[in-house]
Amino acid sequence: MNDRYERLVKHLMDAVLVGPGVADTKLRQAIEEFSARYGGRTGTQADEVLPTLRPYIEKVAQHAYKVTDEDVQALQQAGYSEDAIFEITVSAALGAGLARLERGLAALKGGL
Amino acid sequence: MRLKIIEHGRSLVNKLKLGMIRLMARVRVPDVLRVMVYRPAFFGTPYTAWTQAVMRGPSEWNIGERELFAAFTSHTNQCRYCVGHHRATSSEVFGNERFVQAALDDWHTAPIDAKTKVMLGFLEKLTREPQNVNTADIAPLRAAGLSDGAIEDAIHVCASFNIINRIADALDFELPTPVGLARSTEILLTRGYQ
Repeated sequence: MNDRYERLVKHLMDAVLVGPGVADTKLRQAIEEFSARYGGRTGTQADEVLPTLRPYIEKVAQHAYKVTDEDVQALQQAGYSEDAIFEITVSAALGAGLARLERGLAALKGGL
Repeated sequence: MRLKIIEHGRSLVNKLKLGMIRLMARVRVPDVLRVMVYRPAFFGTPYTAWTQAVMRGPSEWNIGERELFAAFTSHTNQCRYCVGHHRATSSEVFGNERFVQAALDDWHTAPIDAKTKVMLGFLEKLTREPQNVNTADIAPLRAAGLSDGAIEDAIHVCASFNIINRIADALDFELPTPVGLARSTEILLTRGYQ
């Protein structure tokens, strides 16, 4: 990755995936990984995400414009706070974006 | 906005910041800004630092072109909120709204230069079917005369907007009024992303 951006991307990953939060860092990392797989990331081991979270993460990863009020309400009913839902959403979005970044840069470097 | 805690602010500092922004901007605080000031250490600060570097830092692409890539990625993801803001910002830089809209509608036929055209084709594939992107997709970009640095910069724009498009749609950002959109465009062109 370009040196100009590498450090900035690393800061973002650290903040979302290992920084302080309501949701466990293991959960955030699993969500990021799960979402990234829909974006073409391969070769890594992903922990399974909980069945209650799966439909929401799949939607955010593949077609976030289809998310509805009911999808978010379902997470609240399952016991997730608004802080946690924010973290889940950002982790899923991050996985989708980073997978594309990795894929694009790998293609550019001739590794795909 | 689907999360009340982001709509209203989480902490006193957060609420004060939203109040100040509202006073300065004289319009409803855009939802994207609410997300950035809500728990900034978790997402807003590192995300905007990266995006500012990508969108406003040194690059072979001018700001209008990078804003077009942002609008185009958002259009490919069907994110109305982000398309609206970045189409307006790109149009403002180019001084030509029809040109930008033509590129969003169909990059194959739009009256844009060859470098931008092939770059949009690549970003469309990277957004829509990233699993199928490979080294062969880079050849037409190089053939059009794009440097590796220029390609890399555009990939970063695409990645950054693939993140924010999803947050905007999952949380249902409220679309701005025409006045709010004009104000946001002005801020994007004067202060940028930070």
